[in-house]
Amino acid sequence: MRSAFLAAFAASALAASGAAAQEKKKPEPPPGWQAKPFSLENPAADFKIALKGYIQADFRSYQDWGAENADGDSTLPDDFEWRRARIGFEGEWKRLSFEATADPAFDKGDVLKDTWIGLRLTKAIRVRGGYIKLPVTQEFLVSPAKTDFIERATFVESIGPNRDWGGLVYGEISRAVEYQAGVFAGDARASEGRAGTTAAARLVLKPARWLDFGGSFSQGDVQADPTGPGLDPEPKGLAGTSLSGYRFFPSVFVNGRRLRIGADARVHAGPFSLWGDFLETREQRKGQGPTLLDLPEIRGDGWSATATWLVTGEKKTRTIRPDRSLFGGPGAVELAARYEELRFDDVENEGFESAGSRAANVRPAGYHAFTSGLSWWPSPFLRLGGDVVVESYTDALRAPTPGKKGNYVTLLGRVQVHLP
Amino acid sequence: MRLFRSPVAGALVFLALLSACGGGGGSSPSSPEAPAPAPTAAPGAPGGAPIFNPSVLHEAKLDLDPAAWQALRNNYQSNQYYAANLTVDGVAVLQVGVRSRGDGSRSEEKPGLKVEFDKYVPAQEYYGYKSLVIDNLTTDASMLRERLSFLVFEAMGIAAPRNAFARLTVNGEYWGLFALVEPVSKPFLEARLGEKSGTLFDYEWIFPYDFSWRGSEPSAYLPEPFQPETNESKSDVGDGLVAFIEAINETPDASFVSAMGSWLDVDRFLTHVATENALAEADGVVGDQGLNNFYLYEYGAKNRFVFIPWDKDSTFRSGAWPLYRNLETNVLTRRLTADPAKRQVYADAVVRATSSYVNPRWLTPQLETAYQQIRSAVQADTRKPFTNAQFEAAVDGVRGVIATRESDVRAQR
Repeated sequence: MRSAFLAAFAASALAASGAAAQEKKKPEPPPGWQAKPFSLENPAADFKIALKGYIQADFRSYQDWGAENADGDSTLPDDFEWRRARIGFEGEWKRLSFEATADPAFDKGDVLKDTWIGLRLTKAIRVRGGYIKLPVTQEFLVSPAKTDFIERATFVESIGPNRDWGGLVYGEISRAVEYQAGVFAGDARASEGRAGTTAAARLVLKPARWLDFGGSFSQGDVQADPTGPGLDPEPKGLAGTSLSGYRFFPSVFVNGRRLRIGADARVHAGPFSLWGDFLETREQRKGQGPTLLDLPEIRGDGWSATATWLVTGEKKTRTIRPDRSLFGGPGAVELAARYEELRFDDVENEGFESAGSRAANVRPAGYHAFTSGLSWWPSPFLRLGGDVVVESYTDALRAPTPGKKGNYVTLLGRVQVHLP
Repeated sequence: MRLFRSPVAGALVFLALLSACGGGGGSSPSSPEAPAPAPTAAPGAPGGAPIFNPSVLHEAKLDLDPAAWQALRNNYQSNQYYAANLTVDGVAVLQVGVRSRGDGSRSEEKPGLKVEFDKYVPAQEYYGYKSLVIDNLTTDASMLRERLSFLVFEAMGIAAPRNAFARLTVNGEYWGLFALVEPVSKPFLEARLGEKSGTLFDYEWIFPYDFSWRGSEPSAYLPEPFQPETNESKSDVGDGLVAFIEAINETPDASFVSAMGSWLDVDRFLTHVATENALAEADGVVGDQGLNNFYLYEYGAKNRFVFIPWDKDSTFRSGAWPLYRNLETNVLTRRLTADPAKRQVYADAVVRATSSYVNPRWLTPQLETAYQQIRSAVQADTRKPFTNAQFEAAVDGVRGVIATRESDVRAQR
């Protein structure tokens, strides 16, 4: 992996020198400031700033869960929530670019979102610093306003990284190679299981315009809480939480290296796309046994396969813009289907199989889900979505209803409104 | 490219087809692999759970990672949970949480255990219970005191936890005689008090306390010594308790008894205290070190309380036990028994307890039955903190107390 990135950097440097020589003189922009409803720009000064944001309202309905606690309450009652309310701005000034986004009201966990400042040296070498996403798994790098389904694949949220403070070098080389490489203060600032200083990188190869191959990794060290009389350490291992919000694999005690290795592939042609994503994590458990002995590494493996079809014929891109908005046409309609799995286990399997957080032989827990989804963009500013999720669990004992592996059906609905 | 005239119609057909596929989850529906042993609760009250049947010496097996068991023993003062499989009389419950428990009874050699059935398996229950106490019986050389005491409480009309003896095997090794104790929790409350929506407080002895007024802030009483076990998250969880303690302290003498009548069944409470005295207990509501060893339940309708006995291993201390011993040691019993009529209720209850139950006619047969049930298991128990001779002597001591309590009380009237 390291040699691949060195090669990418060298190639980008060569490409950058060539690109500079080929720059053409642009026509003179009109002078003065131009105010638009949500942006302000001064083309002569090469400056632009724009408001950005969106709001999401979600509904969930658990169709046949039947799981009740001792009080007769459903473990997951139907609910409505204001899922996200992102607001911020982004802009450019000459070679600088910047963004600040927050979710002050609704998003669980972390109010601060993408907040960074960047510098474009060349198309092949750009740098960005601030509070940004670690470049691991392609789906995580897609805005939640633009994902194909209401929820990302479970493994992306459960074992993938999140945002953290750090710096990133990235760029595109000859339209055939994209890279991102950075160093971060951790792998998820808002997570209690956050690793320490983490290196992360992602390389995408594009052998054809319709085909991408990606690979990514991250590595950092997790430091366990101290143990001892009067102390109550919390486990920091990665946990498994299903699309419906059920935690099927609780966090275990980890200490030491946390490694992620991912791979993905994407095929897109006209209104169709097919893509797959894989991520494996390994977490060391140094000194985390019941008697403080080292335990075997814990491993998490997740993958998904997705197919999408823009029924109304638009080209599949990240941002869907209907060819004919409502009243002039049907808007844009996309159908999507995804199958995914996520599994946790330790790398050895000897002795008593335990669900405990310091188990030498971790009782494995796996999860499968099939999601079918429908998205409708009546206009570029409005998206309505509905997903049907069918989940099952490999460990019947720790399924939402003990003894019942599946199927658990959840209906999800979303209304999303963007700033233009 | 357009397969359907209406994109929406196409979408609906597509979705319907996908959903009809049933999810391809990779596993067949409802094919549980390991059987959550799912014993269904016995018909009727959870108190009828067969694991608490006192006429049987139960067989309990605990299987867990040997390192986890070693860690539990090494850190026996810690409340760290470990995952284990528990089997009682052949009925297994998997992946329970088990930890060391107790106050003075904690032991490295023979740990007392608290079992949480839903620690690692959400919503898992065993005969309707979420937890179970496996008492190590290390503070009572006779191992019989709690069993006999709860029998007397029940006979006196005071709801008490059921308990039953069990031989405990850990990872195939006999670990000694223990007692399976019914937890005071929602199933107990529902079965014995008829409701469970109120707030249950576990009285945790941290320092000597006597129901004295410590101000109107709930934090002066919660979570120590009154630990809420239900409704913990409600913001007003301690309001009723504070008001109760305020009433205990601030109500004028002239109206005290009638005022207390709105807070609790006074005669029942005095019967509880009288039963402790009949059993010659030194560590209960009128204990030598202040209040101890009870749960306090506030009914769901609020402002109405009941005491529930717990941990009766300090009973049968002596055949000669003062009739009004320690009644002055807490505000509630002192003020209630200052009323001559209520003092009489208390004394009558002690007499009834000893003449009806704590005597050789009623209790000694119970003792002998239990003694015969456990004797060989105790003798094989090499981890108990006393010898077999001390066990026999302690049983003789209990026999002696039972033999003399009735006459001793009668002599003090």
